[in-house]
Amino acid sequence: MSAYDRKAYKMDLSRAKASLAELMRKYTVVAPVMKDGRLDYAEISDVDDVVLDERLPYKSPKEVVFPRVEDVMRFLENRAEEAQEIKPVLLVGAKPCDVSALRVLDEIFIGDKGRFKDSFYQNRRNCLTVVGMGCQEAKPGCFCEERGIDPAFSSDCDGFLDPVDGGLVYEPLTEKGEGLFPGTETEPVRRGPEAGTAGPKTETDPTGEGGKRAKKLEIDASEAEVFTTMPWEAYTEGCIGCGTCTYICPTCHCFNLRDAEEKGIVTRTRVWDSCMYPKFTLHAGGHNPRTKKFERFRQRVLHKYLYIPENFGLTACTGCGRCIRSCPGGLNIRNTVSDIMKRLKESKEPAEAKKTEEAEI
Amino acid sequence: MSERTEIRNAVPAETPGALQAETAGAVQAETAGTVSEEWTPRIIAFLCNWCSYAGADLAGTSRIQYPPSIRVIRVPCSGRVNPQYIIKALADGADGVMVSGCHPGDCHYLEGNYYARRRFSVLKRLLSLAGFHPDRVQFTWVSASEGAKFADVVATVTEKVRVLGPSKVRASKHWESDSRAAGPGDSEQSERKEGE
Amino acid sequence: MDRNTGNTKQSGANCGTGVDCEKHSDMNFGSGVDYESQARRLKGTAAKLLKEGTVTAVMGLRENEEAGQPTPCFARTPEDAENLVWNEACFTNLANYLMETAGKVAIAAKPCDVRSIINLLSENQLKRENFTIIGMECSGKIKDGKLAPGCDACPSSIPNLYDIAIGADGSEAWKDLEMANTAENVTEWAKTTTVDERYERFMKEIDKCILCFACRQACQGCYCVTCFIDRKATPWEQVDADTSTKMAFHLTRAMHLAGRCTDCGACEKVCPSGVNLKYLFKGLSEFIEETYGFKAGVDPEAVPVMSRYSVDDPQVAFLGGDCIVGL
Repeated sequence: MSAYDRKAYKMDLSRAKASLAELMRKYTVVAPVMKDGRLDYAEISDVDDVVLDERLPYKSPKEVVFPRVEDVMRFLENRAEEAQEIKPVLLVGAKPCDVSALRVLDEIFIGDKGRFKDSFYQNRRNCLTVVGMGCQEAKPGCFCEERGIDPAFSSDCDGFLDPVDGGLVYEPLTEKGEGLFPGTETEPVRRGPEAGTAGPKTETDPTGEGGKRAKKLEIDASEAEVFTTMPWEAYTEGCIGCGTCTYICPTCHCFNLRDAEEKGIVTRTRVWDSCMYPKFTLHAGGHNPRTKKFERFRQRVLHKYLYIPENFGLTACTGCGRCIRSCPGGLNIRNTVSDIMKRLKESKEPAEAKKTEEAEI
Repeated sequence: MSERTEIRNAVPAETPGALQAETAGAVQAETAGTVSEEWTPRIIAFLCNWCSYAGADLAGTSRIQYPPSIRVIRVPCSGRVNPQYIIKALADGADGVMVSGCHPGDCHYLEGNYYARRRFSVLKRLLSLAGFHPDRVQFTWVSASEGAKFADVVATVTEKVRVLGPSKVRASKHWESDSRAAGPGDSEQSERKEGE
Repeated sequence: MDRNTGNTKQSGANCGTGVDCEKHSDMNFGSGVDYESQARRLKGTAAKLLKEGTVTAVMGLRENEEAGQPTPCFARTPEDAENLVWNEACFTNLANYLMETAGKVAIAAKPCDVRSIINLLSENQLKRENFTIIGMECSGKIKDGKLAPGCDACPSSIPNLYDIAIGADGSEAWKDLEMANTAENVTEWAKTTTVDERYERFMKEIDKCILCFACRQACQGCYCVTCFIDRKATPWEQVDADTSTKMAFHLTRAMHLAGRCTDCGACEKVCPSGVNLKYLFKGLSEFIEETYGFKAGVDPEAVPVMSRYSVDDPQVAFLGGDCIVGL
C-alpha cells in the first residue's frame, strides 16, 4: 500500500485541543509545554498549555517509560509485589527522533533479541500510547537525518500529527491510534504536499529533497579496530563528568536497582545512573576499570554505535543532538563518530577514500 | 502569606550579624498545624563525652527532671560533630538538633570546641538562610559539673522548639511521596507511592 | 537569542536569582572590552608560548556553534592556537582542568577563574610553577541573553594573579572597568524575609534539582576523589534520591564550600535544570567575610578559614549572643 493511501484527517488546533481535553479524563497526557521559558515534555494539567508546533523539546520524553526514580517492587513478609498497572499515558507531540528512541528502548528492555524482558518497563510500555509529530526545527547539533531518521514522519508510533497551515493533520497508524481524535474528521486528506505536510519519504527519494543523500552515520567496524586506534583523549578533552548527556539523551538507559528496608518491608527502587560518572564502574573490591574520562566517553560512544548494534541490531543514537547542545565541555558524539568513520576509511583504502571524498564535496 | 514581623528574638541588637528572626508562635504554628500541649518535640542531642554527657549524667543521678525530648548521641568531642549530621537530622524530619560541648578553653582535646564553635556559627547561618528557623538548632557549653544547668538547657531548648511546631520538612508535600516513612509515635503512616 | 531555550530576553528584572528586585533591572553587560584585540593577543601569546616550548598546552575556548557556547579547547601546537576564541560568551571556568593536566600549561583565565586557581593554590591542590596564567580582563560575560551567573557579584575586572596581562583593549595595561555589581546581598535579603519565605525559596530550587551532580563536577572546590554523597558504607543518598537527599546534598555542599566558594557561578551555568542555590554559598561568604575577615580567592598563601580558629571567635548566631541560650 502506498504511503499516500493511508487515511489522514485535518483538524484545526482548537478541535485538537478539545479532543485532548477529553482524552485527559482517560489518560495522563504528556505533551510539549512551555516551562520557565523552555519547551519541554511534561504532564499537562491544562490543555491550553500544550504547544504543538514544529519545535523540538529540550529534554527527551523517556521518563514516560523509564522514570528517573521508580519504585518497582516491594518485598513483604511472604510475598513480592510488583508495581500495579498505572493510568494509561498518552504521549502527544513526540518528535521522530524521540519516537525512534522509544523503539530502541523497546528493543533493549522487552525486545526478542534480549534474553530477558523487563517487566517494569513492559508494564509502563503497555499503558503508553504515542502520537508522534513532525519536526522542522533542525537546531544546531541535530543530525537525525544522518542517522537515517526522517524528521517529517515516523511510522513507529500509534498516530502521527503534522503541523500545517490552519491546524494539524492527524494520521492513525495502529489500532491504539484510531479514534484518539474522534469527530474531527472534517475531511480525510492524503498526507503529502496537498495537505501541506512534508509527506513520507519514499525509497527513490530518501530525503525527499530530490537527490542529496545524507551520509549514514554509523561505525561499521569491529571493536578491535576502534578501541585503541582512535584519538579518544582528544575527543574527550573538555569532559567534566557531569552526566548531563546521559540524562538528556532519549536512548540512555543505565540504572541502579537499590533496596531499602523500612519497618520490615523492603522496597526496590530503580534510579538513573550515568556511565559518565567517575564511579560508574567502581567495583565492590575497589577496582575501577574506567577511571579516566576518555575511557568512559569511549564506552558511551561504542555502546550506542557498536555494542548495541551487535546485540540488538539497531544503533542507539537518534541524532537528536541534545547531548551536543547541553555539554559544557564541548564533546560532540556526531563529530566523534564522523571522525572515526573517516579514519577507518583512510586506514583501509587511503587513496580511494580521498577520491570519494572529493567527489562528495 | 505571613507578615514580616521584626520582633527580635532574645538577640541583643549589638550582636554582630544577628538575623532578625521571626518569633515563634502563631505563624509557625499555623504552618505546622495545630500544636497540642502534649506534643513533645524530637530533638537530636550530640553531647561531648567529657563534659556535656557527664553533665547530663549528673542531672540524672541528681534526679533532676527535664523534658523527655532529647535523643542523645555521645561523641568524644563537640568538634567531632560533622555539620552533615545536623543537616541530615533536619532533612530527615528532626524537630530540633542540639550540640553541647565543653566550655571554650576547657576542651578535653584542647581545641576541638574552638573548631566546633566556628563551624557551628557558619552552619547556623546557612540553615537560617535556607529557611530553617534558627531556634531549631542550638549550640551550648555545659560542663561535667553542671547537672542542673544541663536540665535547664534541655528545658529551654525544648520549649523553643515546641513553640515552633513539628518540623516543616515533615509537613511539606514531599514527606508523603518520599521514601521516608513516618516515625514511631506519629499518627499517620505514609504509604510508599509509585515513582512520579 | 538562545538556541536551546528560545530566550530572547536582553535585560530585565529577572537576573536569575529568582528574586524580584528593582536593583536588577539595570544590567551592565560586560561592556568596555575590545574582544577582537583580546582574542588576537591571546592567540599570538598562545602561539608564541607553544612555539617556544614553554608550555605543552594552552587551555582556552573554541567556537562551538552546535553547543551554542564556546567550549574548552587545549591548543597543543601553534597552529591549534588559531582555534582559540575570546568573546562575551566565554563564561566557562577552566580552572578545574588544571587539576588534570600533566606538564606545564598556560590557561586563559578571567578574574573568576583566577580566584578559583588561587583557592586551589591555597589548599595545595596546584603547584604554582606548573602553569602560566594569561590573565584576561573581564567585566562580565553573557549567557542566554543576560549577564552570566556569577558575573553580577564580581568585584573587579582585573585578575588577582597573572603572569601575562591581556587588558580590556588587548594591551598589557589593565583598564579597571566598571563592574555590574548587581548581585543580591543575601544577608540583606535574609533580614527582610521571614523564615518561611526563605524556606520556600530553598524548596523551589530544590524541586528543580535532579541530583545529577553537574554542579559538583563543575565546581573548583569540589575535588574530593570520593564525594560524601557517593559513600555507600553509610548511605547519605537515599535509595530514591528523594527531597531529603537533595536537601542534605546541597546544604552539606554549602558547608563544604564555606569560605572556599569564589562566586564563579560555574554551578549554575552548568545545571541542566536551572537551579540557583549559589545564593546560599554567597550568603555564607558574606557572613565569613563579616565575622572572620576572610575572603576566598584573594591570597594564595592564606590558610583556609574553616581550618583554623581564634579563641576570640564571636559566638554569633548562637542564640543569645555570647550567652548560652539566654541563661
